[in-house]
Amino acid sequence: MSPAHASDGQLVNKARAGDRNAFGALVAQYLRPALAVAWEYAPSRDDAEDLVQEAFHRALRGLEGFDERLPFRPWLFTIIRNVGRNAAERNARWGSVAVPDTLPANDADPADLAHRALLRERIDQGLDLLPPMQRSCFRLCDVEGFEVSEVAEMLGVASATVRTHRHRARATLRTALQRLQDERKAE
Amino acid sequence: MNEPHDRGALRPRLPDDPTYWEALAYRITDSAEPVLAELRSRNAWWNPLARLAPAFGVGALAATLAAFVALPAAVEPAVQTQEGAFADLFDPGDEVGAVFVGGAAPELASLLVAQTGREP
Repeated sequence: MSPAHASDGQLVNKARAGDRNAFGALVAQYLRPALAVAWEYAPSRDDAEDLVQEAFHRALRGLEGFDERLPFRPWLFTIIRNVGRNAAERNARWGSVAVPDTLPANDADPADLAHRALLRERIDQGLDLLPPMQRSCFRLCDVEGFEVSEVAEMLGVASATVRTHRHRARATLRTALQRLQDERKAE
Repeated sequence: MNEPHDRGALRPRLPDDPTYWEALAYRITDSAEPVLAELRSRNAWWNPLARLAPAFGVGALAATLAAFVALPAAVEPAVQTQEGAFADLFDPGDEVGAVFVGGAAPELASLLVAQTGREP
């Protein structure tokens, strides 16, 4: 059976014996949600990538003690969150400089650019005001497009909790954007 | 749950480029190679045997001791027996036989056929 079609349990068994292909298949399978979770704790994508790498290495070292009959996914996300928390604490202690993730395009209409910049600023302000859990639920569901159940597993909470946080986050952001729209109408 | 990172900003979506994910997966897998190699060596086929090495050693020592104890005190050299049997083939008065059985080199004359006085 090829690693691509093997179950998590089979891949875990092979990876704990040092099978590179099996470990690679596990990495490929969970990389996207892993990076999304790590990014919630990291100031930049580069930092998030480093966190994911560290988390996968820790998981590999911990496979010997892992019961392959249990689901691999929640276990991996627990490791990622722990690595993320430690990194966030380190960053808070020593300070870190965030690198902007994107640069604005040069060929857009200046008025449109200005409006987008304002919109983004308001969304950012709104997000800044959100409690971290609401922000994560909103971002992972509405920005990154993960299912509620996936996000619940990624963050280690119940689906209902994700739904509640997401709903509150949306309400807060809607109010912030409504204010922006009203200001534009008044101008 | 400990709260995620406090820096708030609407981040861009995760990259959609498959090559990005492939490269990142390769990087993570490749950098894990030392750990994988360690796991491979730990799970090698000879490791269960290696774990039994002390038991094998004790068993081998016991077998060696048992062999020493079971062996007879002295064994007659096989050559001597053979030589004795060989000597028995000859009559004690047989001069030719004495040449083969005796330890000393035979006289040259004794190896020659005795003259009978008759011409061939």
